[in-house]
Amino acid sequence: MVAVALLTTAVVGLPVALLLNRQLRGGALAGTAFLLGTGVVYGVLLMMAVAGVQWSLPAVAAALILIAGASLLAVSRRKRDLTPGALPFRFHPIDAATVAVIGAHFAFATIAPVWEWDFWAIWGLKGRVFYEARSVDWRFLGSPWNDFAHPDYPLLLPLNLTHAALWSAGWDDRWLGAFTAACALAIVLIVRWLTAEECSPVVSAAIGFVAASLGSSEHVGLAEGPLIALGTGGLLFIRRHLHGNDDGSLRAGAVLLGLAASTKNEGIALIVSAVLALLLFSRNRKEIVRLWPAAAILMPWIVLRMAHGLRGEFGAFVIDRFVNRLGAADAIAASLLQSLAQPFLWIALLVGLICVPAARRVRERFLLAVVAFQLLAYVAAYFVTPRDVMWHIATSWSRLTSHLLLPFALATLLALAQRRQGEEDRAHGEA
Amino acid sequence: MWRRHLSLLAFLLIVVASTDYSVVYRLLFRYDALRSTLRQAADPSPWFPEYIRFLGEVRRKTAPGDSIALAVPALHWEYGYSYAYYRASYLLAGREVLPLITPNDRFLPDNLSAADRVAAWQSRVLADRPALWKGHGGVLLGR
Repeated sequence: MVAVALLTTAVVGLPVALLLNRQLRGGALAGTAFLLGTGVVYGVLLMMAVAGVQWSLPAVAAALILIAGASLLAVSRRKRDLTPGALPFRFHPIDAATVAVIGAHFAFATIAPVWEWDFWAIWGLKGRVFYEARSVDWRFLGSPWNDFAHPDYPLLLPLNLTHAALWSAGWDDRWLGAFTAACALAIVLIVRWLTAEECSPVVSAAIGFVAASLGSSEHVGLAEGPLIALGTGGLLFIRRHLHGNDDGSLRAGAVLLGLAASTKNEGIALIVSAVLALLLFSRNRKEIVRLWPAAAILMPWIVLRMAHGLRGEFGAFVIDRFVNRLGAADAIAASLLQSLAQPFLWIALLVGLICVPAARRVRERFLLAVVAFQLLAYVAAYFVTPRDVMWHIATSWSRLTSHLLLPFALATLLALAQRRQGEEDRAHGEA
Repeated sequence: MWRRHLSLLAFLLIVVASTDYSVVYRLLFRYDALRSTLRQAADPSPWFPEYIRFLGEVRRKTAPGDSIALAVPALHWEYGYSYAYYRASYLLAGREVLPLITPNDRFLPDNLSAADRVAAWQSRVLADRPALWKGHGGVLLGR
């Protein structure tokens, strides 16, 4: 029944995806539909909880059908148009390897009941508690005994797990890892179809393979997988808008970023990083205002969090801790380097960037700037953490950097692979 | 020309370096061992399997909304009690699980007296409460 829940999520998200961007088609439409569907599920369950309506499968299904129906109605009144000059999508044999990686990830994610500590102590715990209560259990979140469960974390993932439990008529974590795998599949579809518009089939297929590898989070059941998918999807759509002045892509990007912020607090930092990057590189800085859906989607949780007094872990004395830790900056840097996951990939990406002509790096500066700002934010967090900093780095740095590998890889690979008419490399005399 | 070759090499390097081959290898050639490892990953020895079975029975013998104080042999938060408490919170979701020690290893007698039930696994609790059920190395005490 988890499969039914996932399918329902995608179906509900389909008209919403078309409402935001009528140009979407193929895998990009399917992947975006699923990711937006997770947002619809999150919104429905949260609003029902706020309104005091107990969750039941018929009630939730009715609300989802209502939203999907309203979106479909709105979509039917809009004209469809295709991106002018977009390359047609073509499958390539490398896609078989991509399918194999996705299949392997599904097999891994569902090999056993979800085993990750942070699943049964944070994400799955909340999902299960809320399922038992048939609503958001604010008393549970507010209890000081449950501070370990990070009550300030946004609820997109727990509520989607609850949604799966409603369809399964009971909580069973045996198959919940499929949600992580579904998020990976969604971002692979988006990457493959969007890159096919600007790259040759072999290059697009190779990039799709990389997306499958880096989008398939090993942290099954945690929010890393959804954050990678939602965040990267949001950034890719904003990039598409910057290159083609496509309003639909900007809308979709903004909404996906809002949903990323509704998944983990790092998603909130991602919105800030995207805004900073747009401030630096957008031709029309007033466009930043058009990211308002991201903030609008995030605001209900911020308000609810404040209203219920749900505390974050950083607390007071942030500046004091920052100043005190400056003296240990070299030790922190050394620990960060030591704990870095996939160091060879990071080196390969940096080497790739160096190989790319400057003009191509400029084309990908939005993505690269977001990755840089987000990395800075993660490092800064260690200077203000209330926990033991070395312990915190050892237990979180590899997970956090996994959020950034996919957008970084996409920026580098697209820069390496781009071929455009009258491109600068001819001017440099490269045959 | 050399730049083009270097770009191609860098592209291929990134593609090759992006995959975690150890997971693929284990899925293809060590599936049963991987499954067995991950099935027990949440619950280290000596907790597995009796502590989990104990919590399963506690869940069956309590009602939603019951407050349950948790006693286990680990008396230090960082050396076992936190694991036992978080695990109980998950497996007894719907009940209110109350710790008996704080992260600073301070005992919480108020939680012991306030709880509807006490779930004591491989530990003795000095409290005047009737034993409702015994099994899997533990006892469930009533009010």
